[in-house]
Amino acid sequence: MKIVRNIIAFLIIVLTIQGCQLNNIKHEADAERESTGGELILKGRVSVPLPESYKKVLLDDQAMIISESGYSVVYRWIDKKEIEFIGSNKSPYDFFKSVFNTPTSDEEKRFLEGLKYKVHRPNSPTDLEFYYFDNGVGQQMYILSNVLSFVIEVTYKGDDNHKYINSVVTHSKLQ
Amino acid sequence: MEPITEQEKQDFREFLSTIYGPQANSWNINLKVLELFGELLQSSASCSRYMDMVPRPFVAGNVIKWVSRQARGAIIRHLKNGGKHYLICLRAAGMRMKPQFYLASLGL
Repeated sequence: MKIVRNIIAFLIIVLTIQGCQLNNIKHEADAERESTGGELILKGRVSVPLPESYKKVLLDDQAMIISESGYSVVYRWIDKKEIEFIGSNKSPYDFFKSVFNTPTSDEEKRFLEGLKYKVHRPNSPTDLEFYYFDNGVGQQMYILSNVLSFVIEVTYKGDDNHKYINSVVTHSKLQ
Repeated sequence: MEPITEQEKQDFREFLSTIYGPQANSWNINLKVLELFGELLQSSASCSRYMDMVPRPFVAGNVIKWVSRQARGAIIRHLKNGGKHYLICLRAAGMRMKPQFYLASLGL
């Protein structure tokens, strides 16, 4: 009888500890979700998370740049006109899909020529496709979807670049 | 560093416009932009068939001596003298480096 009581007490202690650990994981996940700032909606179609803070926002015809001491981020939208300018007739989606998977044309091969780092393709919880690489001073990411007429490029220069890139993968979505 | 003259800035904006289109005309040309331009010029093995690379006396290792006005002048002459095809060939590789040019132009 004493042995049974000891086993039950042991099980209660184990379950209590596991419960606390699960609770901590949940809090960490919540903290991760809450760590992102606002959202940036590009061309009314794609929402990407903004970093927690920034001091300056600079707007150009084809780009938005935000900066803070320690990091800067460039958001660009690449349309068919820009792809045609470099010599390809493909849609932005087809061009980049090919660049990152099976580059065939000279333009597709040249895009990554000279790049010293590997291209990563993280799993995405949404219909968006993500490709990113280290560009020597930070991380450069491309967000693709075959329902979009443009491709989003997000370039993060500075500290904590992996944290922000992970946040973009987790929180970006089609509108 | 010997200051970059207005004429040199204009020349480099023209080269960058050939690669990036008219928006490069509004970019601020500074040492960071020139260093990136040098990196781009030397990044593409498949484009180099169009012309020899930058004159050797103005390169230290793989880095162009942009601080020297003499080096900048030699590179400008070199690119003006038959570099158009080479610059057009660099458009695809240049697109990958475009966000870095944006930041460099703003001094970021």
